[in-house]
Amino acid sequence: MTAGNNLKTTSRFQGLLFAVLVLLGGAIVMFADQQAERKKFLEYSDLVYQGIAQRLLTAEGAITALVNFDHDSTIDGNIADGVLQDLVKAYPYIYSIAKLDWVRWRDRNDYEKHMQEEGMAEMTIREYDKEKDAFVKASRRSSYLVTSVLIPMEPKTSQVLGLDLYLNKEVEAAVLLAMQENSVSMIKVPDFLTTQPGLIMMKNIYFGRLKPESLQESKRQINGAVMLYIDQEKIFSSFIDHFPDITFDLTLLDFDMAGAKRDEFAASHDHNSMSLLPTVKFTDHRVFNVANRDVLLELTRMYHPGLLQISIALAVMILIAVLLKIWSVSRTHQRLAAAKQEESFQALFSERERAEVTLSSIADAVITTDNHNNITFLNPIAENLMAISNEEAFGKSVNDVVHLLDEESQEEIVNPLESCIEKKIENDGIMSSHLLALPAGKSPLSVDLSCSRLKDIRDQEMGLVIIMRDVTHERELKKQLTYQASHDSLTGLFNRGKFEQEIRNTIQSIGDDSPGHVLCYMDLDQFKIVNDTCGHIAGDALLKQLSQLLMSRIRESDVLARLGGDEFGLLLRNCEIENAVQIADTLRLAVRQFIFRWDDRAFDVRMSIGVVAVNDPQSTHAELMSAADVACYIAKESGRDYVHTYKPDEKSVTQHHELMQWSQKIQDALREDRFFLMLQTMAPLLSAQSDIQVQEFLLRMRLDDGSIARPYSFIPAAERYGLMRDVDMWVIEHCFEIIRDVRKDTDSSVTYLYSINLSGQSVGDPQISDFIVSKMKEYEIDPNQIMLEITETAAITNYQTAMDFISLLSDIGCRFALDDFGAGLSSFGYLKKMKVDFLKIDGQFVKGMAEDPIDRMMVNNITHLAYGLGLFVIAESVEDATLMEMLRDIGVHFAQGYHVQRPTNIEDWKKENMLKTIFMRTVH
Amino acid sequence: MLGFVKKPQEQGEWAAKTAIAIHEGIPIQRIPIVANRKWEIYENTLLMKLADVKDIDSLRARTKKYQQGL
Repeated sequence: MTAGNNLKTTSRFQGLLFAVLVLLGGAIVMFADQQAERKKFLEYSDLVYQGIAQRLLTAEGAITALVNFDHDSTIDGNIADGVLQDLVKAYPYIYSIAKLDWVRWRDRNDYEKHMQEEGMAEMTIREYDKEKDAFVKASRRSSYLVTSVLIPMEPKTSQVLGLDLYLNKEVEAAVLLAMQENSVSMIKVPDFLTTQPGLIMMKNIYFGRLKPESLQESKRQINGAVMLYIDQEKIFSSFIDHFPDITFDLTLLDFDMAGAKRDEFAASHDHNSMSLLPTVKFTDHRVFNVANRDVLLELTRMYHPGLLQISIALAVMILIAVLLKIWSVSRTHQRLAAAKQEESFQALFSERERAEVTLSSIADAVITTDNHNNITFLNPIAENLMAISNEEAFGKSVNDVVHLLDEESQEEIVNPLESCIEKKIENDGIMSSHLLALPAGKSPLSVDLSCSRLKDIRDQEMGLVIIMRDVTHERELKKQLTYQASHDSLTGLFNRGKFEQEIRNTIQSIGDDSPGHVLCYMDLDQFKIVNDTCGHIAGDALLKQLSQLLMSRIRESDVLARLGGDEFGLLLRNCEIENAVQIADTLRLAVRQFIFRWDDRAFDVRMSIGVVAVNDPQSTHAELMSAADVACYIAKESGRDYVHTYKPDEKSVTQHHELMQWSQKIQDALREDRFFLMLQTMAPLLSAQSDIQVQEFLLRMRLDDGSIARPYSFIPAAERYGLMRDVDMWVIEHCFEIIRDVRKDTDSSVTYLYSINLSGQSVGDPQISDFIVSKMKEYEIDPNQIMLEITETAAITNYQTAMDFISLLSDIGCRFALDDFGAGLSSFGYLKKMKVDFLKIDGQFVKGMAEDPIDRMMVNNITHLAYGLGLFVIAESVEDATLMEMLRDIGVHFAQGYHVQRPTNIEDWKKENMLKTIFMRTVH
Repeated sequence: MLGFVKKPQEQGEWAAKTAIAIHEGIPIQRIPIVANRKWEIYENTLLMKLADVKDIDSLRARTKKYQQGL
């Protein structure tokens, strides 16, 4: 179970306990209130008890006095009446006083007569007939106790006059008790006298002044009795007024005839148990003895707590609830805090474990120190790196254990940690690097160092964490990588990238006082011969030897680099152009004198050098390299083995710059799809080829100004800057796409032949041949429909590769045409070996054949030669009908030129071709 | 010398109270006929003096003095 569940369970029990406590608090308040009220009630009860008892005792005293008074003067007549009335007035609870006469049977008539004479005209002794609920004439009995005097005399009470009370058992018992005890006795008022609750207190009157000594004497001497009627309500009246919420009840307990006289009042209290209910009943019972009777006084009070008491109880309950809630919340917070502390402790412990394991596992050396830079911990790597154990290092100053050298200056760093921290702050957390650690007894190690301050939770510094990483191996690798990235792997010279960086640095160093610098672009002549004849290994050996040769001839401040292939760059720092030209010439001569030997073969090596001054701080390395390249190119154009100094205004330089501009345009055109194709028909001149339709694709470039550039403008640049492959691939793919598109609109009875021009560089390029084959498959082109035109010069220059190229594609069905035939004046011997199908006679012969017999003869001879070799002949530049007729007469198979058809754009040609096809199908 | 004179008011009061008692439910037959019980004592001081009767203490407070008729 989690701490949270414990808390929930505890919370439930706590809630129950709180409810009990709150209720208990309210109950205690109510109980205390009840106790106070009860105490007050008992105090009241005491007062009431004393008052009631006193009143009854007073009545008892009064009746005794009345009896004595009767002995002195009979309670009769006006005087006695006045005294008794005063008594009744003084004691309001004494309702009336009566005198009763004891009449024996034998005296009855006399008594009645006497009473009649006294004023009670109808006087007869009566008794209460219970059955009739009426006063009737008294039956015969031995004695009667007849009411003779009643004070005060009221019509309402006067009915008791002449009434015999002795018939009533209680009265009889009281009389007998009074006789026995010779004292006052007391009974409840009989119901037939009045419904009003009350008591009758009575005392017997005897003849003579001597008290009878026995019951028998009492019975003989009895003359009557005096009675006091005590009104029960009035006896309580004043107390009721004072304690209106208390109920009083007075009860006479049973006679105890045999019991002894009770001299003292006996009082008892029934202490009611307290109740938790808002309403509670207080009862108090007091028993005391008056007039020989045990009197029970019962007081009852129904206590209803007031709004104030309830409010106090509720307030106390609320207060308790609030206090308990506060205690609970505080307790819960304490427990939660304790649980959280426990969790934090566990997390801290786990974290410490993890940190220690991690520190032991990581590959970095970790050292921690206290505020005095004394070591407190070394992880295993640090122990190994510093060649000291954790126990040995503990407490030692870190500066005594960690010795560091600056890797570049090899100077020892004083207070390396402070230095590291400062450096880290400066470098925004970057580690301090390029340091050598000097572990005792070991060779120095390259390390990266990082220091951080340890801070406690109050952000107070508590030491340092030093992390050292052994980067010796990485530094070595980095050095190697840096070297490889900047050097040519073959010759050990700087490579092009590094050389360009050096040029940039040199440009930045150009100042007013600087004599200037010079850049040389060096290109080996005929290096290709060595490569082709002896292989690349020989070529590489040549380059190595030449590199060493050149390095031996330059100053230490100069920079020599291999730029690629057989090209070298030389940066002559702080060197005037004239001196530079001399140095370049010296190098050229050195190379010229150098003889490369390989497999008993010797090769003369030549080098062309372009020289350009580096004296304009605004120039860029690209501009300088380009200028040097141009200069070198011109040197080569000038016959090789030559040093040429770059002059911006020179014509050849201008031309070369134009070529460079064209190369940029070509790249833009390829990227922006500004090349497009046109078609020109080659008309069959002889009937035998009338069903052959030959179309030549012509390449055009759309320039920025909207004009159209022809191939002779941009092809030289493309060839010079190695862009021909891209151009040829573009042409091949787009030609194939057009051929596929027009296939459905062609006449099946006609043999279509599409002629595509290939540059000399592409002839022999295996990538181009593979490209042609793959695109043919992609566009489902029939190879028999494809005729590839290559120039005579290109075929002869790369004869072997051209032969292989032609052979490969001829085998799959492609046709080949030798373009511009006659212009190169090459040997016919080549022609015999080449697998070409067409000869295209150079236009210069065709155009002049009408006027120039030599041209006409050339055309004639070439045609006959072609016939001899089984080749078709195509005449270019046919611009009029005369030439057409002449060519037909000679036997040329096809004519091409403005007279036959001007170059047509593809869309127009498609429409024309479609119409022609429809026409042909209609005719057939 | 001494005169016991009945109070006529007593009869009126008795009659009225009887009426109330009857009204309260007391049967009439239970209410007895009774003689007057209240009177006033008159003392003829002149006659008392002439008869040389000394003041009687017990009467002095209760009697009314009668001096007319002489």
